[in-house]
Amino acid sequence: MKIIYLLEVESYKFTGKSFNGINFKRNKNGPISLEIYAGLKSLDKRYIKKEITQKADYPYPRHCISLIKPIKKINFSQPEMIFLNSVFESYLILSQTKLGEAAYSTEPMQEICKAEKKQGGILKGVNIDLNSVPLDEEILELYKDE
Amino acid sequence: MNNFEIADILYFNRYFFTDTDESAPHFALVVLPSRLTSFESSILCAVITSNRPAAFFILLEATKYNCFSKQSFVCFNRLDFNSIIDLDRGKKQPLNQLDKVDRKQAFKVLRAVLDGTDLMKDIYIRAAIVREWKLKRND
Repeated sequence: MKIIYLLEVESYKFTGKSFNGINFKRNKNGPISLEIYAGLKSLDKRYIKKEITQKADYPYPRHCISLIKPIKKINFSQPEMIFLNSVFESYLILSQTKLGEAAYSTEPMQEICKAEKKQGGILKGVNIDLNSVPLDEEILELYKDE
Repeated sequence: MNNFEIADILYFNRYFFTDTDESAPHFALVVLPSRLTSFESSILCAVITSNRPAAFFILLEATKYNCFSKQSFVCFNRLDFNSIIDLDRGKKQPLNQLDKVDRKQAFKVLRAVLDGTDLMKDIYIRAAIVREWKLKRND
C-alpha cells in the first residue's frame, strides 16, 4: 500500500498529476486506499490469496498477497512503464520500516502529523491531500521555460 | 540483464537514428538504462559525434575520456532507443563514464531539450529522465 502511495507522491512531484487516480486516507499505520482494498476483495480467492505474517523487522502483522492464477495485464504505455520502473526501483529495495519512514516524510503526511500534534491524537480516516506535494524544482524550471 | 548505467559511454557497431531511419557505427551516451525501459535490450541514448553541433551539447575532451581520439560532443537533441545487441562486442563496454562535473553539465543541457522532441513531450519520460538524472547527479 505504501509503495502505491509513494508512486502517487512521486507522480505529483514529477508530473504534477495523479498516476492512477487513487485516493488515500490516514490510517493508524499510515496511508491506505479503500479503493485498493475493494479491488483486492474482488480478486480474493479467485485470483489471489492473502496471508498474515509477522517478522522481527517490523512491529505489525503484514498482509502478504500472492497470485494464484494469472491476471490480465494492464497495458501501460512505454513512458508510463519507464516512470513506474524508476519509482519502484527506488522503493522496492527498502524494508517496511524504511518504507514507512519514506511515506511519513512526504508533505501530505507531514501536514497531517502536524495537525495531529496540535489535536493530540491520530486523525484516522482523514483524506490525504496529494495536491500539497510540491512540484520538483527541476520540473518547475521546465514549465517556466514553456 | 546488462548493467549499463546513466552517463555510460558505449560504442555501437550499428546505431539506429530514429529521425532518418538510418544506422551507422557510433559512440553514444546512456540517457535511460534498459532496466527502466522494460525491454531488456532497449536503451535510450544520446548520440556522440566529432562534429560540433549548433546547440544542446556537451564537449568531451579526448584527454579526459581516452576512448576518443579527438574531442567529441554529446548531442542531447538527438535521442534514440537502441538495442544493446548492436553494441561492439569486441570492446569492453561501457568504454567510459561521464565524471561528476560533466554529469552535472549534461543534466543541465538535457533538461533544456526535454520539451524539444515528441518523445520528450511525454510527461512520464520527462519525469523519469529528471528523476534518474537527479539521482545520478547527487551520486
